[in-house]
Amino acid sequence: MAKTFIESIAQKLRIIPNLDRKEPNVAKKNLENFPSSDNWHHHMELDANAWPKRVEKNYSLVPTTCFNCESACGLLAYVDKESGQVAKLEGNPHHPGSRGRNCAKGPATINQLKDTERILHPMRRKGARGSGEWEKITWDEALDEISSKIRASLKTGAKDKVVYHVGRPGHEGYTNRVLKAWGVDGHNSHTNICSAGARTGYALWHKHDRPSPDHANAKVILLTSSHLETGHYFNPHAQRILEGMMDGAKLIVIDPRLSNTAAMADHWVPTWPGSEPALFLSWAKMILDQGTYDRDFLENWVNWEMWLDADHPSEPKTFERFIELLKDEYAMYTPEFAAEECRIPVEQVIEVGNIVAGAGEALSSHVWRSASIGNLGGWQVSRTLHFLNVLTGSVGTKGGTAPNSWAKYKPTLFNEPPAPDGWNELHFPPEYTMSHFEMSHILPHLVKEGRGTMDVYFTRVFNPIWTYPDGFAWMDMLQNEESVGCHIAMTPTWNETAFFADYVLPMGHSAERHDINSYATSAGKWVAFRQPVLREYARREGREVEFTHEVNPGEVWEEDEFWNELSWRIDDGTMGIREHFMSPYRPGEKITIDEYYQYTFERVPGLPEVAKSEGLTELEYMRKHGAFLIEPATYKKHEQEGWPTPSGKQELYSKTIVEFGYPEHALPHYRINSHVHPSNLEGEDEYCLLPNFRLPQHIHSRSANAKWLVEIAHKNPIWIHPKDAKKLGVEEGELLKIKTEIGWFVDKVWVTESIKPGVIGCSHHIGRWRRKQDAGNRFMTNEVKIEDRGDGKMRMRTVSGVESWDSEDPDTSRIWWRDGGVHQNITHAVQPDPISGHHCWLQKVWLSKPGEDELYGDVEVDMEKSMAHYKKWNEWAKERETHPRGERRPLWFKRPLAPRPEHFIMKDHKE
Amino acid sequence: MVNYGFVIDNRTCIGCHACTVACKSEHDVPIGVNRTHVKYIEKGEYPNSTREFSVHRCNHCEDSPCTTICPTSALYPREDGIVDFDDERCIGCKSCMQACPYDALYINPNTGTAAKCNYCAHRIEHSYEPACVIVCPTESIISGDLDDPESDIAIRIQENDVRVRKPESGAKPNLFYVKASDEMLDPDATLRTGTGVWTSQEGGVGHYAKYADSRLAEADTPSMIVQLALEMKAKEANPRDRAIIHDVMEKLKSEKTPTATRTYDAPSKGILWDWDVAGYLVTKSAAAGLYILLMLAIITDNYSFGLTAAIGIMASVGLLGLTGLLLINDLDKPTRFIYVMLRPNWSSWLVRGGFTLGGFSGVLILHLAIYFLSLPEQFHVYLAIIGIPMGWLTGTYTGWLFKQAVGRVAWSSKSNLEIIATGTIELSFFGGLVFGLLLLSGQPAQWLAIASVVVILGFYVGYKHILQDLRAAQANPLL
Repeated sequence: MAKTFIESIAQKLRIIPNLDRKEPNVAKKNLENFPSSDNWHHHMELDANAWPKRVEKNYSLVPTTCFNCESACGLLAYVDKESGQVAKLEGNPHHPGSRGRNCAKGPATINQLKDTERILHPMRRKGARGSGEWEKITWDEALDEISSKIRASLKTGAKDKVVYHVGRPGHEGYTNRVLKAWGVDGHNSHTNICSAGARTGYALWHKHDRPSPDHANAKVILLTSSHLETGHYFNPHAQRILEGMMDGAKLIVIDPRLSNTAAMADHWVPTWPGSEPALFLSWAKMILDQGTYDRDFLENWVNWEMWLDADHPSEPKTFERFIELLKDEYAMYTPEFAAEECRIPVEQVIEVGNIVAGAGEALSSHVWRSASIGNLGGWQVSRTLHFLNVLTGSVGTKGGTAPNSWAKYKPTLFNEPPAPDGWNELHFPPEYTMSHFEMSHILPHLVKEGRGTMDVYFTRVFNPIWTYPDGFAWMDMLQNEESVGCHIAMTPTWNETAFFADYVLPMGHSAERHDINSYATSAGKWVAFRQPVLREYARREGREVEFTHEVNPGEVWEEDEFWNELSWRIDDGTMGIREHFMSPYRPGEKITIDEYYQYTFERVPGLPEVAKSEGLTELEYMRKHGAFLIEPATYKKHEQEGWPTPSGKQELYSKTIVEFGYPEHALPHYRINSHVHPSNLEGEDEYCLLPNFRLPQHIHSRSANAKWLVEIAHKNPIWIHPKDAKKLGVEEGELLKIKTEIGWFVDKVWVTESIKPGVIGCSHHIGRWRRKQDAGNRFMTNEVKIEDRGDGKMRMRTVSGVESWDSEDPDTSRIWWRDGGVHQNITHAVQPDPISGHHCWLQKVWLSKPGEDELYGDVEVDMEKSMAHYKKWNEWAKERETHPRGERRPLWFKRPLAPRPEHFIMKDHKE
Repeated sequence: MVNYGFVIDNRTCIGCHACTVACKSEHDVPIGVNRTHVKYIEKGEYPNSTREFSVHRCNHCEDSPCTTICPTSALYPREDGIVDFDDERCIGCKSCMQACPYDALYINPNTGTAAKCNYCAHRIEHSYEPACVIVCPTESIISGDLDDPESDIAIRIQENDVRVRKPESGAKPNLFYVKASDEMLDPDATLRTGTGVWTSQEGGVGHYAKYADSRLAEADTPSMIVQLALEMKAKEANPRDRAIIHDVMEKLKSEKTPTATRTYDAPSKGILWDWDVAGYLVTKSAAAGLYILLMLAIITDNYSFGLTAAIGIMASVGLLGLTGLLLINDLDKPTRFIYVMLRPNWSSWLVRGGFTLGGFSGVLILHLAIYFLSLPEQFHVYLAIIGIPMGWLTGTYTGWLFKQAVGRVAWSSKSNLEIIATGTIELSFFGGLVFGLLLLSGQPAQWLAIASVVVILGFYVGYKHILQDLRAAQANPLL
């Protein structure tokens, strides 16, 4: 810009500073997205805020993966060479899943790394559990104390009293191997409140328990989910869904709420929750009637002959007859039937059905949580959805839906200890024969019933008091030292569950830990490496680091190394544990973390050759690039591998479910009405609460300290249709009391046309809290007071909303919001589905205006009602409990951390 | 020469806010303010309801009003189309925030200077894409050379119907939307209430934060109610205010029934020019008007230039001084006020006005010199020949400054005649009050007392009126 004469003179006379700047480079140029990885250790950028003054900043770019959901999208950490700290994180162009792009949570990782309230040292409680008094201890003390407790438990011979309960795994196989080394059936997870419903539905078909849709090549994309904004695997899927759509694919979204995903859809189908199987089966019927099914696939890859043998033995065993009988089987699922169950217009059923029917091999469908986890019988959703892929012949095809195992790499580990010699009935109780993953959400209830206790309990990036239904039951269990001998919370930040722990151990975030990642984000197979970036930076600068906590903030460590050290110390030399932690390269010596990963990466198909071509070891390659494409998109693998089922085919007819006591579900049907089916609600006075929808910016317990995410979303009002609002006499911003079967909460109303009448919605990402004695996450947490009112009732009241405070970060004093939302999850009754075991998230609720002393944010739960409700649902599983041949569960079904085969048979089984 | 611009492709934008956060990360933007953000609107009735997302940031206008109005060229247009800024030149006057029709600028609370999207100029320098472009999961932000027909951005524009925001602003924005609805582009199509589905603004942000607490205490002027109603702080207001707000909202609804609702928006930066600006308008008008009336009286031989007149001139100087203090106090970088004179952007009326003020002060000093040096009274008359026009311009130039504030339609739509009339009336009113008081200087104490009260009342009423108008002009959402 031209300078005026006055300015020149004034600068010369030193009246004002000289602000002359070098001219910018305004020439025409090709703009790049990322520097080449060959230059990542010597990347120079100009300081963004000093510009137009040119201040050079020198960075070392280190790849890692994001830890803010399971997608493990690639990230590049910019390590500032001057400060030695991470300055920001961008995408990793080498990551085949995320391809250099991220959702909002990726770049927000820097907030989590720089959080002024992070836990920086291992902590041990001083007062009673939950008192909020903590003292700093050393890692050495933590390792010694915890290892001796584990040793004591193992020495009793118990195989199920040392438990690792994980929320976000973020890794492949590491901890299961550790648990096996300790000899315990001790893995518990959150899957039971997440994907367990859908998994059972898929597993019944072909053992593989999750789908991998090939959206980019699809003709029709059918989502019973909101993958343009959240879920597994949001970012990589959203990229490919839009690619598919820009190529002409039609997007159909099934959701009672207008999610952002539904807003982008060609067809938003707002089904009544739980009625989706009716819809899918009406489309199945349309496909059968129209004859647009894929004959080749059905005839050769589906076990139709088994069905004829079982249910129609006298019929001719021809494919044509099979089709005729199939049409009879599904004759009841007319469009009118679906329209009535789903409460949508019959025209829409037919219009969308025709689109699906015409998809041929290119129907990419997806369900992960949503209706399959929301409803009683939700596993029918995935089973009937997959049926559509089977009928259209789009299983494992280009543009179709493959099993996720085809695109997921399972690493070969340096040592596989034997399977545990016991069966943990707190995780896999006998009455839940077909559950996928552990019955985690009824753990406190099983313990209360006296079915077991735990000596040592690790909660790892797992916050059940807050995230799970009936959180007070967890609070109760965790405060009871008889039920839980020692509780260790492994977490990057404080959370509601950690407040009640005995030890709080800070574990690193995405740029501060080692993990292997591989997820089915599209039709190819990749592996990625999450690494502590400052450790890699140190290595690039020629410095060796022994333990990750030396480079992380404070003494923040990582589980991988912690487990190695802990396991070594557990073993007093007689227990045979140390043998499983010895280096494959230096016999007899304790394995190092680098050796662990070198061994694993050496065995990734194709990686050794590629690494060699760059003159690197496999580990060096992964440290440099962060990710590796093992296999490009590969379809129709079943033509080589078959299907891993008893019949070797897609099981339209499930002998398994018949044997295990549910013959009415031999074929995919809509035989279970959801617990929130209109027939289960008392007319128009009972509503269905949809509490489990998620936001693009948040991730359960981890995002509360990400200030840039919290400023975008910090409150969770009740979504209510204007018709319902009017009926209840509430206007926007006013308060509503939502009464569940075990309690109630008071929240603000958000009147919107974006939800189905009769259904109300509330996001369960928001409503974080801490009590006066607790620390952390003040961008998002309300301060609450919890009171035991006696007579089994617990009350929580919001004392204050979010407030500013002073710290080294000037932003903490600039908080412009006060409303931290309401914690609704804690008022939800546990509702274990008898067949899949999943927690049915949707809640039957009664709505009213709150009374005078019922304030915004108030929560009450009746513990006696919660136990009674659990017992009622638990009875349903017990009533039909069947163990053919004494099998606890189908032997061919997946089970994480599977114990020795003999334990799959009930001990008191008589032949 | 390259001409950088943006295309936001709403066919693929999923409203995920990755761009919002990537930009925050790249520039360490404080919370409360954004260089880019996403607005959500919803419209229609269930089951035909829909939601739309709109990404906003600086439009890198061809004819940028911010660079015209910026007094120090802290904001400047580049040859490659980027509208860049140098925060070491910024004095924090916030004229740019008034000039921008697109609400692209904010005051950085860390530095007290204006900031906005600058197309990641520091990255462009080394041939890297802006941070928002690379993060977007669906590649919905397209950057590039608008003038190269073979570039991705130019092809995207050629192949699709594209729209811009507020084409009538005359700023010639270089941000094109593929697929944007009327309700998305029209800021008045949806109400900005301060409350969104996931957010609730309960405090000020950036510069606004300074006034938030004091404003929350006042809730009784009609224009404030309008503003409060629009910002929905009213929910926490007392019942009487709520009733007034309810009426206002009803009236607003009937005047313009928005069929769409705004369900997510960035926090409002609120009022930027408030009591100090209203204050300096009053003191400046008084200074100018007093001088003009005094000089007219002297020129027409109705008054002689004695001690009283000198006192009048000194009062004018004092009022000008107060004007200067108020002006400087409004700046977020008050110690840089001298940049208006020493790093002048001549196209800005803030600069022209500044020099006018300077010139006018000079004239006043000269009058005092003539008086104290006992030079012939006729010299006053000669001086007044340039003094009166200069004084008049002093009293009216703000109207032209406001006219350069293209973002505020209430100001930018004023005709020259309206500006002249308003300025003249104001300086006559305030000047007249003080002049009247001056004329009564020889009178008994009780006359003076009554006159003083009248003057004070007059100033108060006038000030309040100006303040109200000032606030009302800034109350409407820009996006």
